[in-house]
Amino acid sequence: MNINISAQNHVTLIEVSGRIDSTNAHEFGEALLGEIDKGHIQIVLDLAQVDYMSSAGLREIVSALKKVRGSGDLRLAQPSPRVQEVLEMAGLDSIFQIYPDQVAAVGSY
Amino acid sequence: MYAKETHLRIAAVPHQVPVACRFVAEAAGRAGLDEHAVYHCQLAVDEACTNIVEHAYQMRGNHQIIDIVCQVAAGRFTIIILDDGPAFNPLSLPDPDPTAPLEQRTGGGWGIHFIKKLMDEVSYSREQGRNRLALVKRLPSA
Repeated sequence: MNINISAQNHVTLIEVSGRIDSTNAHEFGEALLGEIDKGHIQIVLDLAQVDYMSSAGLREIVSALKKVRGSGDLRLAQPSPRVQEVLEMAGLDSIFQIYPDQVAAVGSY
Repeated sequence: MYAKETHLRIAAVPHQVPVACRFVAEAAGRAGLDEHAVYHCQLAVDEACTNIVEHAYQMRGNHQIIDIVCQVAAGRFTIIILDDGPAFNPLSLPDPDPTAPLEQRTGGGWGIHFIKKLMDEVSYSREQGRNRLALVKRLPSA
């Protein structure tokens, strides 16, 4: 798993690639919560290059969303078909705002 | 010629779970499942083994191993997962609610839900002092 974090005006863009499972979900969660702790509360999480996500990864994005929503938001961009499938199984596709591409997600703030 | 049954033993520690996933993915591919079904098998085994590892960590003095057996028979690809932990039927847990709002979500319980959704059949039994979870994917008809 690789995590790349950048700033796009007032939005924090977090791009993740590879596999998110129970062996690295904690590291993934720390990256999300680390940004929120810095006050970066308008976040776009780009999951286009994530080819595998288990429930351990979902637990981290739900935890981050709970922490940020109210003051900011965590929005998803172009989840890969495999990530989209697990989001739907957990009913998270109706809880997260999901955008078809990164530009739309960043522009939604 | 593909052996009809293959076996892997791993230590019940987090970094061994991906080893089990790769083993099952290779067996599922050889059995003739398509890429999407192979992925389902891999994810189901990940969730099952992760639950065992998290549980096994709370025990001391047990063997703390997980055996994984892949079988091909009668048009079915079966994954059997065996562990030495205390008797525990994960299928007896209530399913989490996919329609629950964000504030009611606690984060846990999704692994077993995923296994039930991803596999065609799932069953649990306690055999010879071990927990036995069987996960089945039907093979595409020839």
